[in-house]
Amino acid sequence: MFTFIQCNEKGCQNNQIWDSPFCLEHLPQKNDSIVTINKEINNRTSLKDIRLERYLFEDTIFTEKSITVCDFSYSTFRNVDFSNAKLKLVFFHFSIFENCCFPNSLIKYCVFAGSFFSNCNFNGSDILHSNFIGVDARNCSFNDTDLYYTNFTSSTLKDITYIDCNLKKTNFFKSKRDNVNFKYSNYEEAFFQRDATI
Amino acid sequence: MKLFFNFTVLRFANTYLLGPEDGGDAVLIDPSVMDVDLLTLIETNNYYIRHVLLTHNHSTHTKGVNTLLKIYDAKIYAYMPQIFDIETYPLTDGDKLNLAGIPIEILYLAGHSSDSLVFKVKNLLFTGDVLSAGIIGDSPNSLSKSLLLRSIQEKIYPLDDSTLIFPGHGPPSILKAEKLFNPDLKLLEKI
Repeated sequence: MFTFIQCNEKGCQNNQIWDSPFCLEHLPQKNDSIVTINKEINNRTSLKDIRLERYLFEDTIFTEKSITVCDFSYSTFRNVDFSNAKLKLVFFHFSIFENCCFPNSLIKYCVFAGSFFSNCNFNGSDILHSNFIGVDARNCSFNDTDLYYTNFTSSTLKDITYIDCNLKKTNFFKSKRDNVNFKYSNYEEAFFQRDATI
Repeated sequence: MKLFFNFTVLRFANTYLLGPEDGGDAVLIDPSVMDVDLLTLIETNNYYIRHVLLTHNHSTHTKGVNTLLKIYDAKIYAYMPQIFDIETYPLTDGDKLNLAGIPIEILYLAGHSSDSLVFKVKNLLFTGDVLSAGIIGDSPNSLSKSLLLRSIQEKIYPLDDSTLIFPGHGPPSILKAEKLFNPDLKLLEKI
């Protein structure tokens, strides 16, 4: 399990990334290091215990990769393909996702809290037991997705489709929804009000 | 250190397994059910459960203890000195443990139950029912709820915003997101 360790640069509050003692900002030979990291990501079929906070993923292909216990928080994902990927306990909180696709992926125990999603496609995926609290999502589709026990509390959802989804125990408490389509989904089994306690 | 997450549909509860990289003695947090999935997780990773930490004495989080003790010779740690007929190693606020090489700090937070503990392991916080993604624990009355909110404010809020939250129910979270988006914690502004 990764731990957050502060960058060795004096006064820097950011966390160390990859296997470096520095954050992305203070990475020595930053451009070369980024090329090496991107190459490593492309070559590996499984990624584990990796810290890449505040990283820019552009046109990256995570297709069919297994990603376990990683920290990709505060990052930007642009045109990234997660098709058929298996994500378990991955932290994406406060990230930006633009034109990303996650079709047929398995997303379990992942944290997307506070992230922004624009034009993203989660169709046909299993998003189980994951955290989307406070997300701001625009023009995204979750069609034919299993969202069992996933939490969208306090989220802002605009132009979103949840067509033919499993919404059992999916939590939408205090979410702001504008043009959200739940057609053919079991929204009766989702929580829109605080009718469950722990 | 490795962390494993086990969810049981039977009680919709999370059990956590913490152990060294190469197997050996390990720590289990809140064994809600001792089922084949959990046993397989422990055994395939070459762990022996030597220590069991209980966040509080609600059956959702403790029901697996009796079965577990038939398999492993484990020591039980909780706020209460006795759970079922089992004598525990009683913990209180501020205690520090080192179990299986893992440093653990103990926080006591009243309000959800009279015996609620939160376990801090480096940047990880195992919160039981005290704090989950988007919700705080249920309280029997408004006084208890106020007490729980104040406890969270005093004990959890000062921790680093990047602290990862591993609750007894629901998905993991991060402290900064809870401060910003948990509707229950908005009540803190009113107290």
